[in-house]
Amino acid sequence: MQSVLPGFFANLNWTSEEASHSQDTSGLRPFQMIFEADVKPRTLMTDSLVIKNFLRKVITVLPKIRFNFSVKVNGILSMEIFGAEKEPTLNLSNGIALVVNCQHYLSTPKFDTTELPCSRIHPVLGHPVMLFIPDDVVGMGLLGELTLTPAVALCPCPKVFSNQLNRISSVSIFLYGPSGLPLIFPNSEQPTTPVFKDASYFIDWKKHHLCMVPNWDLSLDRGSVLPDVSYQVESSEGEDQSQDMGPQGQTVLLFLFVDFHREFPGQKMELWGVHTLLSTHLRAILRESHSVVQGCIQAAVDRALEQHHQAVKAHQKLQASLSVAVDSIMSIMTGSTNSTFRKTCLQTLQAADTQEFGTKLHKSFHEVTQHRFVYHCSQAVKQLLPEKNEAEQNTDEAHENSSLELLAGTGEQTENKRLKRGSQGMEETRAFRSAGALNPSEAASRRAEPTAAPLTFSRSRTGSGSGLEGPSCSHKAALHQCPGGVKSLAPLRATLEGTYRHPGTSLLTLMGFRLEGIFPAALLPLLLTMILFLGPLMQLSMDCPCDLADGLKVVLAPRSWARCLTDMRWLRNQVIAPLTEELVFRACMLPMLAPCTGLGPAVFTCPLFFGVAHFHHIFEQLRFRQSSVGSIFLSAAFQFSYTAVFGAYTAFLFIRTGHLIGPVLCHSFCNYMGFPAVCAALEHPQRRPLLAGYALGVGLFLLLLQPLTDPKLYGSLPLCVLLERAGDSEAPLCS
Amino acid sequence: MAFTPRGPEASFFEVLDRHRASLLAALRRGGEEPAGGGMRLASSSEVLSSIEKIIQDIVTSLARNEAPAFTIDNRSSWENIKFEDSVGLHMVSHCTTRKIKSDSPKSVKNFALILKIFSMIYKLVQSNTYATKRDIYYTDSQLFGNQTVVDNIINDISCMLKVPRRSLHILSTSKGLIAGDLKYLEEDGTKVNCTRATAVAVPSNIQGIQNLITDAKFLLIVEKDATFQRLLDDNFCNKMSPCIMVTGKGVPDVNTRLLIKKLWDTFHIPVFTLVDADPHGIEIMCIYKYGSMAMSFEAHNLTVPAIRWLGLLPSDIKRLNIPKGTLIPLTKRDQMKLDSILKRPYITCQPFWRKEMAAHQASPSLGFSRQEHWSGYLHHILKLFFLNFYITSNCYVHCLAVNCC
Repeated sequence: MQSVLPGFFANLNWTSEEASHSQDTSGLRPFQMIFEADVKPRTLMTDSLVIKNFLRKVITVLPKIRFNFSVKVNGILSMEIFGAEKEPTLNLSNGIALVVNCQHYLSTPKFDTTELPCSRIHPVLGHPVMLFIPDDVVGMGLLGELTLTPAVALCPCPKVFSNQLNRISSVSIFLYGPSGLPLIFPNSEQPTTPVFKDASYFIDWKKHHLCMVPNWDLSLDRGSVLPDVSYQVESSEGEDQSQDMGPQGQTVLLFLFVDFHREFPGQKMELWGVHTLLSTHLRAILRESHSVVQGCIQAAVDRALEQHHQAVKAHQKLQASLSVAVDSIMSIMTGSTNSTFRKTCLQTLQAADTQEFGTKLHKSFHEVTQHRFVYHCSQAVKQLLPEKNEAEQNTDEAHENSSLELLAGTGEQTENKRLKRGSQGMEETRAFRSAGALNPSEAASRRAEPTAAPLTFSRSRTGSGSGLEGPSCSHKAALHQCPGGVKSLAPLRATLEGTYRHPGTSLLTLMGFRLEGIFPAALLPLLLTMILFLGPLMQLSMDCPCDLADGLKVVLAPRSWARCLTDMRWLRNQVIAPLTEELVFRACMLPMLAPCTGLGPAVFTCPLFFGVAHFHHIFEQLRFRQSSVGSIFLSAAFQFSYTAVFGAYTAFLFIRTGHLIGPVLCHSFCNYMGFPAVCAALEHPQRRPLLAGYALGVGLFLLLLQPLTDPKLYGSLPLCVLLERAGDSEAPLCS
Repeated sequence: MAFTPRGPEASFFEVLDRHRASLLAALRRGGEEPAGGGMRLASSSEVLSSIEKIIQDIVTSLARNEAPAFTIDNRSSWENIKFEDSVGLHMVSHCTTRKIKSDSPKSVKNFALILKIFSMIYKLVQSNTYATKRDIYYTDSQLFGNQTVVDNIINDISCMLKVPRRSLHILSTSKGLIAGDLKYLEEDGTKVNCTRATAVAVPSNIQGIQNLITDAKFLLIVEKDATFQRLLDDNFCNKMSPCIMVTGKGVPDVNTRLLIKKLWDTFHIPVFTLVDADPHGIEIMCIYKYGSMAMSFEAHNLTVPAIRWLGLLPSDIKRLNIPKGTLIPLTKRDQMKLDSILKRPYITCQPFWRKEMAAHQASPSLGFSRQEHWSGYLHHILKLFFLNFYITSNCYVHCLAVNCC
């Protein structure tokens, strides 16, 4: 026992000339070690700093242990307590609980920790790898299988430094031996050690565009855990220096846990002896298994940086989103014309003007979300807490046991126990390793992603609707189907009333509104027209699938009439158009035309107006180019001709009957029938009777035209009376 | 003197007219209630003040040091959907909501984007100008990422403020097409005539359409653009009768649905859908008829429950002796779709549909036919459909009368 401890301390206190220690144990759990030293004050100072650092290093991984370190120099007692019992820890699943409070890893003057939103580090645990022990070391008595587990963290928690997020200024390596005891090298050898001299020995910093150089210039007096090895970014370019070496660069913390794997070979050997042996030969061991170690550390570092990059991205996204939100609110606020709304907004945030409102809005948004971020970080640790406790206790127990047993000199049993636990752990790590082999490539592929800027959305332009861009509507034409012209009845009526007011022939009777002989006037012209349409009527009944009885039912059913009356098109075609067209072109126009031209010419001039009134279709068709100009004029001429003929017919009826009702009904009937489908009739299967019907209809019509429209049937004709009074009698039409 | 053109199948139109009359009768019986439930167009000042209120709420919660959040009706759960025969799918009044928080890393971006679109809407409404969804996306395409993000947010906002999209002064470029006997005046005074050989794009401002004129006897909704063009090339509109054809080119957009609703409200002519006889076709027909889940909050403006499924009925495949070679077997996804449709609320009141779909579920090997593959038969088959309709319409009218279909 005594042989271990002095040797251990001798390594530490290399500078001290002499060291005579004595120890005393009091009690089991809280135990005390008292050393007496008779050295120069400066040496003592250095020694105590070394010891302090050792203690700090212990408590970062074994937070349950508390050290009371007191130094009594010339009767003056100074005391310092080391312990991290209450601090948040993170169980790293290899049985070690790492204190995640970043204060332990930061040298105090650099950071004001209160400014940090997250005071923790977020270590990433690498996969354990087997270490190859060289033969000569084996010969020295170090047997068994060693494993190395790296853990990587960035310190301080990177999320807050939005501007210098990707900067890494230094690397600190912490070495731990079995059961979490720090491995400490003899200082003298350090500069010449090839393993740790080369900063790129474990991590390929060129990949991260960093150039690292070893940093031997570490002061012991820094209040935080002193790294065993430290590198810093080489400041080659002068201009970058100020930025690169800025105080807020980040430190990569690399924890290397070396532990025994399966069987602890030195059952006869004591733990401290192994520890010493390990400290001495670690370099050789690491050199031997260089590639394995490098791969595993590299993977862990990559993962940590990846995590970091993701955090950066998330943070930038948040910042960008918040500024969008604030800008939007500001835009609504400043753009609003509602003064009460603006006032309320300003009052709510207690801002004097819009500018202040903007800054306050931004600030409070940040506060709200920042708070959320801290919460987020701590939550990640909390998740790991429950499972930690148990393991932590184990470690704690094991450590205490071993310490105690060291003191008692009976280490074997518990050491076995501890190592058994270790072997169980190794079973798991074996399984890990196959997965771990995949990891570097996986990590490399992941690394490729975050190079893109955090807020790019490169796929943006292939949205769903792109094909739909362009003019939404290319057709701008519209046609009005306007029934005749009812445009200006009022002035016409005024003219009529002014000019043709005659005693005995009232205006209404002149226009064909009278009761005398109304029944024959309604029926006979209609009958005449139906006779003309005998052929088309036959055709219609032939094509109709329903028989006469059904047809009658439909005609007589009040429902069908109700439906007709609610149908605007039916009303237009069967009621409004006939009524208005006849009113204008017959009732209004003929009484004015007849006195000027005489009745006979009036019958033939009036339909011209009627035909011309349909010419507006030409203009529309011409304007919108529905078909060729020729065909437009052809159809217009055709329409003009048949409307003219039809107009002449109704004018004839109007004069002969002196009633408006007859022409209106005929017009309605013709509208219903449409122009006789002569072509269809020619191709009809029952062509012969049909054509006979056509011919018969026309013949009968011509025969009955005069008798059925005999003026005598309809009482005295107002128009004829008017003309007689005017002096010229028109015998052929009025009789 | 206006001559009404007369098509060759006069009897068919009689049946059509009878069908129309029955629809009208049903509408009258249904009473005046549909008008009340719909979303009316909100005035500009209403929209502005509701946006202002939302901003005020955010500022207030910030002042209280709470993270502001939007509460949005959950539009993607059937629990929030109520089915009513006269309206289709519409949102229940007390539906579940989801929160878009400003302090969670996942939703903070969405939160910001909603605010951004709010500010854009605010400006649009204030200046009385209109923008399309695409315009909004292009104002900051980097930020929005893709068009669907914008579309979703706009729907959410429309749902949040309970106003139709039109009131937010946001338009969308229509993808639908119209052809046939229809003339109208657009809001800006442009005269549009759909009677010509090429189809006319559905206007983006449906509410602004005036002076709709048609002689059409019915409205035919065609699912696919290809079929639509084919029918157009075959001069279907002129050969058959005066009619209006509309296609939404697949799943219809809001404008197309608004147009159909408008045409129905204006003319009350029978509306038929011609869709593929596969689950997607059935679903599209259901969207026209009863609306979709995502737009259920605006159902009153969008659905036309009077729409009738003209074809292709799955049973038509057998009835019309469609060659087996042209059939496409049902995939697993189709089956799943079919199952999900069968679970929808409207299927319960459509025993006829259920029968059609169940027939195919029973024999999935038969598969469904897509129209493109037998468009050569199309004209011929269409006539058969109308015959189909003609034969069954008596039953249909009767069913409508007792309100069981």
